[in-house]
Amino acid sequence: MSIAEKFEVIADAVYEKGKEDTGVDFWKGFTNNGSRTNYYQAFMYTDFSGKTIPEGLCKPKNRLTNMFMSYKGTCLPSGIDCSNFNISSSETYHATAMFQYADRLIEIYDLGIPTQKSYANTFSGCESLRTIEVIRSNVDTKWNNTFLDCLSLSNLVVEGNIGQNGFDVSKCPLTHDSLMSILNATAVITTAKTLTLGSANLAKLSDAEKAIATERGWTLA
Amino acid sequence: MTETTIQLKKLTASEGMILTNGEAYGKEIYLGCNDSSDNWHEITEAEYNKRKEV
Repeated sequence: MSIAEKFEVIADAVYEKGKEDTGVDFWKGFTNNGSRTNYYQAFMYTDFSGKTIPEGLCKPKNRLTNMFMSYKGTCLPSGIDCSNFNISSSETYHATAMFQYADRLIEIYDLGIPTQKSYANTFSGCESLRTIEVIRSNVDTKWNNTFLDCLSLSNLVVEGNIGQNGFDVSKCPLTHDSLMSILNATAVITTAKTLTLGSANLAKLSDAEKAIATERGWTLA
Repeated sequence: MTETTIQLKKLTASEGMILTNGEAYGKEIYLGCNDSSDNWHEITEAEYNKRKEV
């Protein structure tokens, strides 16, 4: 075995050991004993599927941007609590691209993320994603490429209101319940705005159901 | 007994065409109560694909 090959074996062993070493001490270090607030790119390229972060340690407050960008796991680690995220902080990016290109991720449980100013690219490129347990928004929340290439997304619950252009789920094979959640979240608007559901999703809705949104001022595409 | 009248204004694109208002796209469009067909026009699927690639 050459020296290079020996190094490779050692590197693999260290990598495997590191992957296994996700006990309390690991998470205490990762979260700076629970005082870490900025999670920008914190889980990028990692895979913590099936792992549990001890309660109270992972509490992002300042930055969710790119937090799980290009994450390689099928599931998120449990124990993340974003409910204390400071939405009035000077951080303007919020959950932008939070899960972008996490192309193996299947489900996003309710992390407690409060209403965001923008969900730009938050889930774009999540081709395997089937379920977003809940997404919170208000009439000002911006939607730009939020669900772009979410080709498997079937379950989605919107809590709050949709009030801005750009909400596009035309590539997502949503369930009827998910579509109703979206329609019921539309705010009453006075200037024409568009909700893009796509032909396949529109075909799952009755005329009366479509009228929930059109009578509130929304054009359905 | 209740009687309900549901009114929907539907635009359907011609064969090989896509409807757009400049921001959104679709083969079929259900107009909102504040929208007008004047705000929508047809483009070819090739033009649509070109715009989506940008």
